[in-house]
Amino acid sequence: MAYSAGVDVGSTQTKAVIIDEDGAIVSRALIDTGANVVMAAQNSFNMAREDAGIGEQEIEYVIGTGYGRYRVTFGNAQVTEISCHGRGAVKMFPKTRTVVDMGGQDTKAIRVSPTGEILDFCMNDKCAAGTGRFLGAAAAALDIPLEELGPTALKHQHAIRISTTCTVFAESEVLSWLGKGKKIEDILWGVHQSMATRSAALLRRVGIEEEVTFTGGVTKNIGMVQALEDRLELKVNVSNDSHYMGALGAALFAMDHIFESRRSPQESVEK
Amino acid sequence: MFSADDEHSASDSIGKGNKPDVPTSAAKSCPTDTPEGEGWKQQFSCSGDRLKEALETYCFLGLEVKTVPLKEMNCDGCTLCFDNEADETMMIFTRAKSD
Repeated sequence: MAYSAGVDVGSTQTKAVIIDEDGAIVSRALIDTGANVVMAAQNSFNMAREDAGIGEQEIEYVIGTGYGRYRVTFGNAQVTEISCHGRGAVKMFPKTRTVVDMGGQDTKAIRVSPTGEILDFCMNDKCAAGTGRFLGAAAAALDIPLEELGPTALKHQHAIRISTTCTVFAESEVLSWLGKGKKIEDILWGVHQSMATRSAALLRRVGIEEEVTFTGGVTKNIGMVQALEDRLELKVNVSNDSHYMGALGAALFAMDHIFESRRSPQESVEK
Repeated sequence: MFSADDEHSASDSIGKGNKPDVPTSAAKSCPTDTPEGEGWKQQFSCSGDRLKEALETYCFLGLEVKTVPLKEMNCDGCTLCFDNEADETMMIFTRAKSD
């Protein structure tokens, strides 16, 4: 049995996924990227490997992706994060035609073919509006752990409209609403709605075609999933492994390479 | 706001074709998706590794790509996201290749 691996080095977290020849995930690991990107890539890969009890020599091909993909020094090749998210999303949810990837630092809208090829994409602008960082700013202002943002927001009764989408101004607006006696859950729902609106606008730029698959670290936030579904007026695909979609896509590209290298020269010519 | 003189030379752009007529008013505020002159479509602004990734992907998609430096990204008077950046922020424009 051959294995391949994908290592997705993001600005906030680094993910590693190991798959078998059937494309099934046999192991995954997630760590904070921190200051040493090379180390984060190596550590996540080792964690995934050790968790599965797989020796380094058993992993025939490794592909790095994410913004730190060129720092995956032990990798064999690099593929862009956009391509990997598209590939991973279609593998996990085969009817995926649109992907929204919401990470700590950026949000991407990607339109894909039935085979996971990228047809179009766009990203949020340079500013952090509509990204995970916006949620982080709200969490800091309200002194709430990130993992409690979604569940708290879902307890809302009267949503507060957050007028700013700017991370810099978010904290002051949130505090302003608190000062006016508004409930934390209502303010938070407004923050989620604001982000969902930005993401929906991004998706419309590439064209929204069902099914829509939600990937990236923000998928862990159930409030964001709900806000996005409300805004898009459709169900979005999310799985416990949505966080690993980029690494999964990279591992699938790596497995393609393994299969390709096994073909005889004649088969390659015929192909 | 940037001027035509701020545009990168052809060698700074990816793709081929003549120098496009990108309106200088394109980036006077937070960008929109309004298609610009000669078929150019304004995409989004970014810098550093994100810019590299975006350009690689648009080229892979077979699009002609043009980048224009943003001297000033004015979000209601705030430029904080763009201050103290090691890499220059660029606005990306794409259009279908003419051939």
